[in-house]
Amino acid sequence: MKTNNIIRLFAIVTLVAAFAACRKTPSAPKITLTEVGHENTGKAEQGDDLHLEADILAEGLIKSIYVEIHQESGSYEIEKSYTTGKYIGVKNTEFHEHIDIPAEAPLGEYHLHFTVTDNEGQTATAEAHVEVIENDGVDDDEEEHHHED
Amino acid sequence: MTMKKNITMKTKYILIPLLCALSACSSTDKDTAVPEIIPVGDATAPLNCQEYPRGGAIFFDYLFQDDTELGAYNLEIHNNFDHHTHSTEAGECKQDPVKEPVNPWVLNKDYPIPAGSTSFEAKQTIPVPEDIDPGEYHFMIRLTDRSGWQQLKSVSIRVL
Repeated sequence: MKTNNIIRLFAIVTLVAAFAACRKTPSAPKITLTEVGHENTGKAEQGDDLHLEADILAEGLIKSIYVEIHQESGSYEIEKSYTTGKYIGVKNTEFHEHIDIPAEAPLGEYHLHFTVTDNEGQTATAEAHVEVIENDGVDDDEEEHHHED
Repeated sequence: MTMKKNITMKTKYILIPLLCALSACSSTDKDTAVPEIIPVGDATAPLNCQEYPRGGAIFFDYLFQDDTELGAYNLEIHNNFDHHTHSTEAGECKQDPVKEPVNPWVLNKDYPIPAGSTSFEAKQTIPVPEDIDPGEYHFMIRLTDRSGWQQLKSVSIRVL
């Protein structure tokens, strides 16, 4: 009888351990920013857009992506969030967006925070430096003469 | 006799939980393969460097395959007036001078795939608007399988 109890206990412990082991949460999202600003210059023009490209891997499936670009000294902020569509509910994706930089965005230094949340509630954030520069005012018709000295 | 029965009972107590433990771990998340975007011969569209007149249409046609189950797909178009790159880029075509968009074509649409499909030929007619900026565009195909793996194909096209 005693041996039986020990075996039963062993059975229960094995079961509990097995389920606990299998329910391990997927690892947190991983983000690699591959391009910030045109050709990864970290620069964006006022009234133009910021190229943003990132490789994301989220075992727990992407629930949302939140991009925040805020002034280093100042309160101006550009925010963009993605909660539906092509990046959501997927494990791996290449995020590629051209984020509008309003014409009234003050010139200067900014921080960019790129946050991914998965379905388990785990988050990861990648950061980058962005500089908002003056619009060079390139016009389609003037293009070829623009860089004359 | 009773001794033998006892041993069988004991074995059961040990074996059953062990089997459960093994099956519990193996049943989920076995899908590690990314779905595939495959050309369908002459009908395949769009292809890299193809040109499309405004007011015309792109007759999208590709074959999708996955080893377990396809999920959904998304088609997206954004301008490439500034000659930016994609890590999955198929290649460059002839380039116009860099220009700033005035009224660029923007498309971003999700499409379902019937449940249970492992192979699906996706066909869509995508009208090219009359009033958009002509020039170079990126046509992005994002295919996701049921467990969330995504394949991306980017095609460079030109709107005339």
